[in-house]
Amino acid sequence: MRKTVAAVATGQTDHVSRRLDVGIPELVREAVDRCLETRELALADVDALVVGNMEMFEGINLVDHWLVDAIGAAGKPLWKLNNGGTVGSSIAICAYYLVASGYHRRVLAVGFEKQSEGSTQSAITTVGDPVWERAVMAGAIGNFAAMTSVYVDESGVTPEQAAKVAVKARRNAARNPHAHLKMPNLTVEEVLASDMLAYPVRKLDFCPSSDGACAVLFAAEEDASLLSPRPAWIHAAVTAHDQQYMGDSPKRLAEMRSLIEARRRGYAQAGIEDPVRDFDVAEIYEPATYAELAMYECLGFCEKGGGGRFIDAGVPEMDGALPVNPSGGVLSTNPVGATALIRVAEAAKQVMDEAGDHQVPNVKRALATGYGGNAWTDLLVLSTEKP
Amino acid sequence: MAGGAFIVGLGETAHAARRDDVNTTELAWEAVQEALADAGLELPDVGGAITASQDFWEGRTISSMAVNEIAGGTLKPESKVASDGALALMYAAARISTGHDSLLLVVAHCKESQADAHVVERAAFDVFLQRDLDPDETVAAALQAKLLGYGPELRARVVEAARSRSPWLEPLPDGAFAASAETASPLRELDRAPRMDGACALVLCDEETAGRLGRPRVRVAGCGNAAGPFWIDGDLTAAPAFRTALADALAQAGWGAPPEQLELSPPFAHQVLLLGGELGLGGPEDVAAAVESGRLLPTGGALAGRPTVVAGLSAAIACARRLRDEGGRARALAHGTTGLVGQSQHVLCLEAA
Repeated sequence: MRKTVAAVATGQTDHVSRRLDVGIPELVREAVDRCLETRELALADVDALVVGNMEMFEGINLVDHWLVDAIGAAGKPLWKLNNGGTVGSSIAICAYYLVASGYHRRVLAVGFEKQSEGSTQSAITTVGDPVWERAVMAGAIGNFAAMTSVYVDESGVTPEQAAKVAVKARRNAARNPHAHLKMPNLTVEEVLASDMLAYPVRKLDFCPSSDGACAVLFAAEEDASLLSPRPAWIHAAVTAHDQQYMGDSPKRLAEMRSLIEARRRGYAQAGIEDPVRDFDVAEIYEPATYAELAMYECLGFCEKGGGGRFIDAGVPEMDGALPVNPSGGVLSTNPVGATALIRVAEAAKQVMDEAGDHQVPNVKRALATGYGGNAWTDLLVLSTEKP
Repeated sequence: MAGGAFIVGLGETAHAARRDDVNTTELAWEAVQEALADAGLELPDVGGAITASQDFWEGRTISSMAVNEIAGGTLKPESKVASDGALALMYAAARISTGHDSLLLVVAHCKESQADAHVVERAAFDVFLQRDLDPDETVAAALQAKLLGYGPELRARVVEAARSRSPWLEPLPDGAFAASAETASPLRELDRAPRMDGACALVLCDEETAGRLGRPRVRVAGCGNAAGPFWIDGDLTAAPAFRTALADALAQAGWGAPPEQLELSPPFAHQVLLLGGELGLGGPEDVAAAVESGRLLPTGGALAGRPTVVAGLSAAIACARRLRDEGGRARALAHGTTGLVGQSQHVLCLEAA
């Protein structure tokens, strides 16, 4: 019989562009300690660990094995997943399955990246097929610019509408003590005046490169209510991937079929009929402003082509009907191996009523997504109510 | 554990030192096609995939990009375990047992010929204190072998017996082990598993699907997975992670003792002798005799030419083939390992069903 599972504790570092005061093991341990300390737990209380990191970014092979002391994994089951941008949500989903299956009772998902010690864009270039794609790849930005151009053409969204996403994210981040880019007074005009990276994506349209780590403890029903006064119960944990060649995924961002498929399955599992009505908050993996607008559409928050109008109406703002990324999102914080786990952690914090200054009032149900690889999607639904 | 997970399809490439005729995707596709045919399925029947590959060996970040599509992962769940293939099988079994998934492909692949093994292995050593010494896994294993003190004759017996049962490599001629070049004292070239290219695929499903497919099936009865200390921080003459993983797998399976068939996958001969002792087979002489008799490493383990990353899943496939032939309630133990000198150990209890 399947176990009911909840996220019961979360911990994050204070994300910045360079953490020169710590090495990778210390950075990771900081998040683990912060997670366990919230429930007065010790490493001995963890039964198994799932680690997520893009090991080519920092150039450390089998990095999870190097970190066993830092994360207290010696003598325990240790899992390592590595799926690009989705890695953080993939380890959350793996932890969910390891608990739901009855293999383990308390599983700690740990994601991290110390991008200042590596060359992320060089590593991302190796994502492409070595024969057909790699020679024309140049990191993430150009790829996004190409996808964005298609989306802009299809939807008619404007740079001003995209800039509103940037303003929302950095303003929300100012209330999140862990966020990297805090810009409480950022304006649409400043976003539009920022450097052009690759048309039509400007510097402030894009996510930063962060050093940071995140840990989330998942527990089975028999432990969850003891460990947390208000567990974030997992109602759906689904994945949908797309094909390996960029050209094989028609429209990509404009019609992100992996997100649409994950939405279909995840919403069905969790009983979501009208996402704007049924969710109280969403933490979505938006690597660029235009991506968030497209994701509003693919997640069914609004009609196709309506992403721009959705933010014009203020629906995803903190005081809107469905606040999106109260934490500041990926646009404000991006330690890649942790980024999608931060979405899960932030959604869990909202459900547990532990988000502090960026808490949305009366959250009962939250959405978290991960994005990565070739337009891949993870999607989780968390709730105050036991499934 | 919740519901059960059943192996109903097996596929494996003919592992070779170099497969220059295929790229990584085509290599894995060979194994996937065979597994699907064995299960009587087509790719669209697959509900998702758990893959195993390591980016450093592939020279490609998110190395599962190469196989996601041919593993049936398009618009379906695919997750990549960056460890030995045995761990991918365990994750798939966990997912199946929850009832969320009913039929998954498990795929592991590695083309060792396309990587600089020394560079890949060196990148796993401590960044601050060890890398500048330019080590690789053979150097670490040599320190372990020196501490264990098993003589060359014993290690030669293990290697020669393993190779004699290899499905992919010719048996070694007399005196080959002694004549092979010293790599890091006391190890010789033939002490370690050969560098190989290969892929494995396995179809795993729930009991209802297994019944509907009507194919010979093998149940994943128990899974054990444990990490030990970082290689230099532990006692290299002991195998605590293997002991823990073995105990957990046996307990989950409800087995009082290891079964008769033991397909271990350590990449060095002296590690076979070490782990054989942990299995209760006796001292090193007894373990070597168990290898010669075919009880231990019945198809030769990693020493018989199982590629790194692929070895544990290949061991499970070898066990499953034999269990399907034997039928009844026959049992076998399959094993994989990840990390320097076996830091992580993965043990699977498999049973004809």
